[in-house]
Amino acid sequence: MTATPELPSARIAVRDLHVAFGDRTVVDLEALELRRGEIVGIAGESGSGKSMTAMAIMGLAPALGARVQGSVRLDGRELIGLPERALRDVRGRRIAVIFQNPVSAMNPVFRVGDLFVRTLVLHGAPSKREARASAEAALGEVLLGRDLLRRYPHQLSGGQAQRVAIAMALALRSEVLIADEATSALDVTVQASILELIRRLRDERGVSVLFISHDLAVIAELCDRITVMRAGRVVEQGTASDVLGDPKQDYTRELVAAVPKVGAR
Amino acid sequence: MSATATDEAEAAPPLVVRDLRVRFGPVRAVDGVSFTLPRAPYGLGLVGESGSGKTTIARAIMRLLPADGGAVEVGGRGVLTARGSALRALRRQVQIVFQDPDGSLDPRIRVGRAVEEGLRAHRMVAPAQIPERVRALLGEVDLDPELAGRFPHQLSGGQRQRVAIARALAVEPRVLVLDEPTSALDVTVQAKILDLIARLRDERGLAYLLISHNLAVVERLCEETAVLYLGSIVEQGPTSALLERPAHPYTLALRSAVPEIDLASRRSRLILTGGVPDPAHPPAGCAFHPRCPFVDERGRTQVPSSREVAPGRLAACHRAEEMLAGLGAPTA
Repeated sequence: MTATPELPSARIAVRDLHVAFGDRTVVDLEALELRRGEIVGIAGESGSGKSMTAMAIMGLAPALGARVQGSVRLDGRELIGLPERALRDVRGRRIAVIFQNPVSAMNPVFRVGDLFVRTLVLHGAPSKREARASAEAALGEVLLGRDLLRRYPHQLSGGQAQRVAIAMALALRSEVLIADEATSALDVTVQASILELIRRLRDERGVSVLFISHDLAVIAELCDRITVMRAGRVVEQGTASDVLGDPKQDYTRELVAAVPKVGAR
Repeated sequence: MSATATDEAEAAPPLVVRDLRVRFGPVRAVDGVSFTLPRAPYGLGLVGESGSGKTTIARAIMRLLPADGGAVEVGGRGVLTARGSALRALRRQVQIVFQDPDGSLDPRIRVGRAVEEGLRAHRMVAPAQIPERVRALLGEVDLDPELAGRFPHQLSGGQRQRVAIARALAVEPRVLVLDEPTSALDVTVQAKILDLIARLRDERGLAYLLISHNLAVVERLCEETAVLYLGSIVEQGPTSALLERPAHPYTLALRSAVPEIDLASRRSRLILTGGVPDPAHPPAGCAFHPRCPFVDERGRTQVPSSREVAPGRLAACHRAEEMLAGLGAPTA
């Protein structure tokens, strides 16, 4: 295969990504690109390989026992095969990730403020005082009061916890946000406000977002381009309006038709 | 039971809930909720955010937790005070299907046995006819009757949910409670389970409460919808009218927060600020007022009473009539 020329603006470029557990292939992805200030969605049902694709991009798949081949570049720098220490810096600072349950990723014995300070100092904040100041500023940006810094993670509501996780990405000035079912456990009203926040991050900060979800309607609302996956492979890729408005593949059509719609009857 | 008593039970509504109250310490989890399933087939949807009391209502109706006040009648018989064999009979008449069949199906029991248990416990058929009835029930939910010998883990999530439905139907309940029955399923599987419920509803003449966070699912399966906020019904009415033009700002907010896959049907969005208030310290006046985009002085100070604002439509909002007249409707 001839190498696809990489667009100069590609922030993340994935080529021929192959993830396997033993002899079972779970991801076989030819190409995926995330440009600066773009929101790209990966849609699929359970077992489609969408989350494992994200894990591979973050370099977390080997820790789960997977064999990863291919290329994942961040601003042209190859991430596959990087030593763990270098990867940890990329993950911590340049690529932020939010999961369905952000509280589980927070150390429960520290208050939110201490979590911020520790993380920011670890990633190069000059002093605790400055770390604290940027934590407060970041919380303000996600519309949370600074009083939350005194709470423990379990004292946060689902929506607050997701905002705190996003604020952390802001404070670290991450350029890429990977959201894996980040709004799936939230009430629709809270989900709507988190989606609005993600849009704002993109518009105001130029953050690139890889948004992984089983919910096609959420993907349709948020994403510029989407990739539909099934059983580890790409079924269809394109702009959100093309893929969901005029699907070319039977599977995509089936998925779109299966989404219950208000006002349909 | 005499013939007349049976006739009366047949004539009574499948389910009547009157002024139901459930407290958890200082929290009024269910605060004076009333509704009726008037006949079968009939679906009533309960919608609202987490903590609104949807699931607590279902549990109180099933006597899985104690109510602190009010009345529940199934086929005209009081549930909350029933004891002994009367309670046992009522337990058969209200069956529930949970979101997660893994939590309700015993992993060590083959699915045929799981369906069989209710048949035996409530002596639904003669023992000799049980295997035949189990096969028929599995067939009714579109499962291969051969699956009766399998364990739950050998089935897919959709198949397990079909087993849970077959098991609930086995004892011929008067009322079915469906608690987020498709929320844990992939969307293509969800669509098939919704089709199944729609078919069974007509074939069996089911009366059910459907608890769901998904308004589209409720619209598909329910004639009527009740919207809950902090333990109270803030709006209730025919589902399509209620979603088309909400009389309560909270319903409007829920409706407008639903993501739309179809770009053409996308509406202007009303995003609520702040979260659900601490239920132990509900706000004065209307419980929704701190988040309400249309709040006025009355909302801040007076609790709005629920009243009929249009035929068949109840709303607890000072400005419900204005809402129906177009307040909050997209201006474009």
